[in-house]
Amino acid sequence: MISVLNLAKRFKDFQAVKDLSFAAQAGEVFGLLGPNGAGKTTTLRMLSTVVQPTAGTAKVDGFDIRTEKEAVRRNLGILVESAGLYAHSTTREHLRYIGNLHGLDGAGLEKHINYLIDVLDMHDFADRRAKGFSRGMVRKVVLGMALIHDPLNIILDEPTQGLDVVSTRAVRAIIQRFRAEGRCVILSTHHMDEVERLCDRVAIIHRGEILATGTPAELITRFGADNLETAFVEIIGAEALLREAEREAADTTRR
Amino acid sequence: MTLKQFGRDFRIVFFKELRELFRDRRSLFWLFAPPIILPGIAICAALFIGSQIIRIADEGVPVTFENAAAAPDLVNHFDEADATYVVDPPENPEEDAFGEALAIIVIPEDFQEILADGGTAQVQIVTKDSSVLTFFASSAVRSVLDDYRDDILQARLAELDLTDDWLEPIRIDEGRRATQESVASEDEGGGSNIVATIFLPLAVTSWLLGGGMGLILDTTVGEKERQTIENLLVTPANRMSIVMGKMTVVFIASMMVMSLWLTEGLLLNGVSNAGTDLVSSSMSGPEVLQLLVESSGSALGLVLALLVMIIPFTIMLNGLVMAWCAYAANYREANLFMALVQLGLPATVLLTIFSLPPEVVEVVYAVPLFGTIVAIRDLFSGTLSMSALLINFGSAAVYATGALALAAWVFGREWSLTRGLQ
Repeated sequence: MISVLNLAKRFKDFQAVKDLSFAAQAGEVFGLLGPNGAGKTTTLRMLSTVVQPTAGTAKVDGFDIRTEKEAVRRNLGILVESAGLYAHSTTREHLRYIGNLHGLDGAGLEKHINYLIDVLDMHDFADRRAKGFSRGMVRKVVLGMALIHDPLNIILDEPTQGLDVVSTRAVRAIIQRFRAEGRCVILSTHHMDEVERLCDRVAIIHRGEILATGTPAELITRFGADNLETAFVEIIGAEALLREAEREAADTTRR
Repeated sequence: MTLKQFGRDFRIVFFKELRELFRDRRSLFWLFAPPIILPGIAICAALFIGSQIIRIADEGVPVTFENAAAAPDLVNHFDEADATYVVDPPENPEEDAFGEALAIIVIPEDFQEILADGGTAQVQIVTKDSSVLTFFASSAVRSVLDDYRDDILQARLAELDLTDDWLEPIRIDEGRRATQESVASEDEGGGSNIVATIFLPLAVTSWLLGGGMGLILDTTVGEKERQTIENLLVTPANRMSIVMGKMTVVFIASMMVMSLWLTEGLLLNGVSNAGTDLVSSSMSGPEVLQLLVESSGSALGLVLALLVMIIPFTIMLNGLVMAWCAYAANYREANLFMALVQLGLPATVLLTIFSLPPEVVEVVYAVPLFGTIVAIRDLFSGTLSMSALLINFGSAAVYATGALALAAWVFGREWSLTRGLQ
């Protein structure tokens, strides 16, 4: 279980996250939805103890992210949005490296590596060095690294980004299996259909604040929308989304 | 965090980084190519020049004369000398002034008369070009001319019933006295060897110009650039053990590169010390090697003193560079700093060697960076005392520990780790 209580983060003059509170239960897939720059990644980084909150706290299976970082890391698996690989290590070596750092080794670890290679369909590149891997292949390996220690709490930031249809379906099936196994999953994604299909509850976050929470069906009903995407636009405000799109377009042009 | 956990995490990171290094051919090339290739090029050049010298020494330099009839005695002298032999002038001097000769000696018409009158006759040496071979030919001709001039001078002094001492009222002799407790005496490879004195301090910092810094770059800011750092930070591994694991790989690689440079430096020192013996005698390969080893200062004290100075110095440099690289947001930012260090450090080394006086107060040996450079300089000058060595080692060990702590501290800070994260 992951519980977040009045979590806040300020970077110099910028308040990235303001007074965020929610709880994701065991056996639940909790969706975190929001436009770019809403504070999702910062929130997830605070939960994974990479970034220290400026106020509030969160607990992962009862372990405080401020004071019990090591225990939090042992009980949490996180797939970060923009993660890469070591060019000269193979898929298997990546999984073994992170597994070792989690204190795992021997036959048990090797068995779990083979299991992940099987589940994530990584046989073709299990013993290939990562140099030249496609985005989808990298994503699969990084997901495997997040799951290597078989955590009960899992944070997935855009897990299907860059994956082909078959792999996307496989990842969705894995997420559903996590729920069935009683694990707690926080899912951050831009795919509304993914949220509707997978998430038990959703929090809509914008400018570091939660604007609405509920099941996808509740949000659709509450805002009189036909689907979650329309409800999301209603909640965030069409104008805000337009501004966001314009900013992204300007960023792309600048790059 | 127990010591056992620390050791385990250290070992995991160390072996992973080592594996990445051994598989990264580009990094390996930049690490080991400079100490292998550069001396190789120098040896090839030296062998070429050496073979030319040996050929000249064996056969002698072919010389010809312009107006040989004006100085028959001098021509005879050149023909009889080991270093030269006289060849006939070319048939068509307009087309080819030299023919077989490498040098032409131009004799004035009144050469004999001037000498007979006790005056100074002017001869001119004309060489073909400015090649290395011509340079040695010119030196050989000059040497034979010097012998001839000395013979005439002796004859003139004898006529006046004088000796050489009359020409040289004061004789200047140069030498350097090592301190009583100097770490390496002249016999041990120390002594006034300018080549080693300059070469070795530069060699110590040479890893900066090679792949040493690239390696640190890759293991620290490279984690940000590849976006692998977050995967590492979300594991329970201790940050200090991660830094130490990375640092140890870099340290081992640095020491290997420096050892190569130092071995070459010591051999160079040996060549410099045994130079005349090597050139003058006809020795077999193994004999040459033995002479080189004996002359290269194989004394244990010298090597130990070098290690005592270099190990903390290397750790300090690695620690500082690693601290910066852990802070840098990307390769570009890190490289900017690296460029400054790569330019600044060798310049600092040379300035330190040449600007500081031969004898410095002992506190200088405790100054970060400069202290070690001066100590290495003085070790090969035969003026480094044991107390200076201890001061240098003690202070450098403190700085090395500080640099390591700084690297670990920076690597554990959110403000540095999150710089450059997307």
